[in-house]
Amino acid sequence: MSEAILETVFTEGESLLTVAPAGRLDTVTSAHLKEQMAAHPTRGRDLELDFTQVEYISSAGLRLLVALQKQVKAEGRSMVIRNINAVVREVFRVSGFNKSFTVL
Amino acid sequence: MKVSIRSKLLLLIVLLSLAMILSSVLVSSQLYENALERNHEALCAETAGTLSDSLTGSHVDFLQSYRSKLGAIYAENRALLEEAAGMEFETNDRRAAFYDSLTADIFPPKQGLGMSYEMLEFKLEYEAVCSEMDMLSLSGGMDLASLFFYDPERGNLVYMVDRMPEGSVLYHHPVSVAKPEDETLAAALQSGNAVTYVEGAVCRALLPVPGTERVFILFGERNMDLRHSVRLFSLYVGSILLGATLIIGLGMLLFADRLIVRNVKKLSLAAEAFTTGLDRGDPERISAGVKGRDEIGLLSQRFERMEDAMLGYLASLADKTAQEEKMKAELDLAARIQAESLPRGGLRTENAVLTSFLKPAREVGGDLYDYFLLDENRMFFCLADVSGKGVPASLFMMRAKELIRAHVSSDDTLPELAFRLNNELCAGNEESIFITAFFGVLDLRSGKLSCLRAGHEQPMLRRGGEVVSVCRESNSVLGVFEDMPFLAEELRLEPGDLLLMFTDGLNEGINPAQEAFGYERIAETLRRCGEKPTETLYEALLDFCQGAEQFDDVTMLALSLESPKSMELVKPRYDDISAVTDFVQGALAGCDPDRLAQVGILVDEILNNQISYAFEGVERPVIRVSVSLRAGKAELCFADNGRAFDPLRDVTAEDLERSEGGLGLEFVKAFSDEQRYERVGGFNRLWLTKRMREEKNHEKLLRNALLL
Repeated sequence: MSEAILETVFTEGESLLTVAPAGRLDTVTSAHLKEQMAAHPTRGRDLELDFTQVEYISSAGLRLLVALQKQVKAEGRSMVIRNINAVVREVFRVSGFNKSFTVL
Repeated sequence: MKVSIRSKLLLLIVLLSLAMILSSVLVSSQLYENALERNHEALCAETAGTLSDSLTGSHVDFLQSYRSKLGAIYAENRALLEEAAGMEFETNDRRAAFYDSLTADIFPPKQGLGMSYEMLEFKLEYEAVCSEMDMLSLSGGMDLASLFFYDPERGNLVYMVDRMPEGSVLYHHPVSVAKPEDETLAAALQSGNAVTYVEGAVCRALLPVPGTERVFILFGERNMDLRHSVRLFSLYVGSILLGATLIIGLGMLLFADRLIVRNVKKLSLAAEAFTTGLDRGDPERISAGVKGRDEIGLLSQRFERMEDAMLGYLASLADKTAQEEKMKAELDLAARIQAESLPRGGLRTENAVLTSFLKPAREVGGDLYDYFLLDENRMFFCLADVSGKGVPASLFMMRAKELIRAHVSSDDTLPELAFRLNNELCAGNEESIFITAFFGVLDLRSGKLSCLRAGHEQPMLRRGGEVVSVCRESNSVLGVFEDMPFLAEELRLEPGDLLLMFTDGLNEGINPAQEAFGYERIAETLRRCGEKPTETLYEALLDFCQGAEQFDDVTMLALSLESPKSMELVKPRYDDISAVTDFVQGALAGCDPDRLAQVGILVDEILNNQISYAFEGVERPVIRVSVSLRAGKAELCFADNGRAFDPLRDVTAEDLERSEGGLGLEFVKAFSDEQRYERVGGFNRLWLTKRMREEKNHEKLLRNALLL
């Protein structure tokens, strides 16, 4: 069962911001994550997305990832996505984003 | 408190010695006292006799003269003397002066001569008698010697001489009188006979002097206070006895020690060493090393025999335990294999849910069940109980289970299945093990249930709030009578019905008072139970049994009919998507988690699309989502009253340009197996079908072949 509010853990490093959302990344929760990210700007740091707790991601979530990627690139930093499960991997594969994202 | 035999023996000896000493001292002192007394009496009598002899003969004359003078004084002053006997004199001199005056009255001094002749003679005679008596009483070791005469008329003793040996001290003045204090003395005086007697610590001898008139010698008054000598004697005897008993006692103690205590100690040490070995898990034979053919020697032999027996027993016990453990491990494995042979997880279709429950009473059991879909629309299930318990029942159960699987086909009716199954089970069933069973085939479209009961417990049907037993007609049990005909019954189940099948482990579960759980309690529990009827029933059974051991497997199948699930959103908002996702995933609970996640993506993409684009200008937007599960396939229907739009066809280039719109549709196609659109009654309906479990190999091959 998912929570209406996305529970996300932010780990603030000097040159790295690690973001670990938990649950679904769908229309509703992606909007939450977007707000949460606005409250934790990357400010020229690398961005690491830890997807250990992410159940699945829908197109709305993907759109947010694309926006984040663009923003980080504009600052000359990099974005990596870690620990994705089989469902998310399949989503990336179907959408072709596995080629444009750095998935570790 | 630990008290050793040794100290007990010592205490016994001490007590014994004390008792012996006490009794012997008492007896010996009594004997000694008696002997002393007799000795004294004899001595008194002898001395008195000697004196009596010496006073007779030549002395009698002056004794007679002395007595007649004294008699005269007495006769003259009798009343005065008797009175004086009771008088107290202040000093001895006063007393002497009183009696002397009486004498002087009788023998008055002669004028010019001083003392009269009679007076002189009287004094000389007195002195002579005194010296005679002193001599003899001294030589006889007497304390007192008296000479007196007796006046039987008045009962008076009239003292003639009363001497104490240490220096002629006057005790009774001549002429003083007294009454005999003692009855023996009075009687002897009256009769004139000799007598000896002991009075208190004093021994007396009374002797008449022959040839005189009632003159007596009271001889004796020898102080014979024996207590001192008796005490000495007792001490003497006592210490000898004490020494003797101590020596004997110590000897006995040493003997007992050597004979008993040491050997018992050896035995005790050996027993301790043996038990220590037992505790360590490394027992060995311990010999106490007690020789001898007495009881303790015998005890030692038996102890060793007991050790041997115990070691033998332990060895065989270890063997048995190892064997039992091996057997138990094998049985556990068998139980696992058995449990794995039965389907788990239940069966779920769009409108029916079948759940199973099995709790074996032992490692392996004789209960079995099975269920599967015969085809798209028919569900087969059966529940059976093999007679007997343990390994034989479980082996038969496995055979029965495989036979059922082998004989069930979608073409045959239940009576045909039962007939063939019965004959198969009868073949080679020498042990006459039989099976009770219940078979059912449910038509999922119509709810028609064809059922066949072969000696099994009647299932219970809950409809509304009522619980009834159904399938009243029973066929014969399986496996005993060959070629028996079987008959099936038909029931029609309705949405909301709950059918419970169970084995007798449930209704015959007993509590400590030996009462059975019974049908009424099952029905009562069934009436109130909610989502999980089998678990609720088993908990009720456990409550009822209060820990009493159950002897039979408890197995249940619960079949409940549901209507397809749907959800309606009026004026939907994006935030509603979470609730719809929960609802759809909940309806498909138990399916493969990855596939459930993909269903979540489907729900999100479609609802996002509907909410974003469908309702321009629509006054009361409505979205309806329904979900059902059928033969492992989820069927989802998304309906909305927005503008007519077929996402499968009407996607414009403009739509595709919006990244998420085109992408969302891609995901819908990628994560569902079939998509169908229809417009009915002002509603767009998008039907999606998704397989919710892994395809089996043959299914995949078949699909690929069809695609080719």
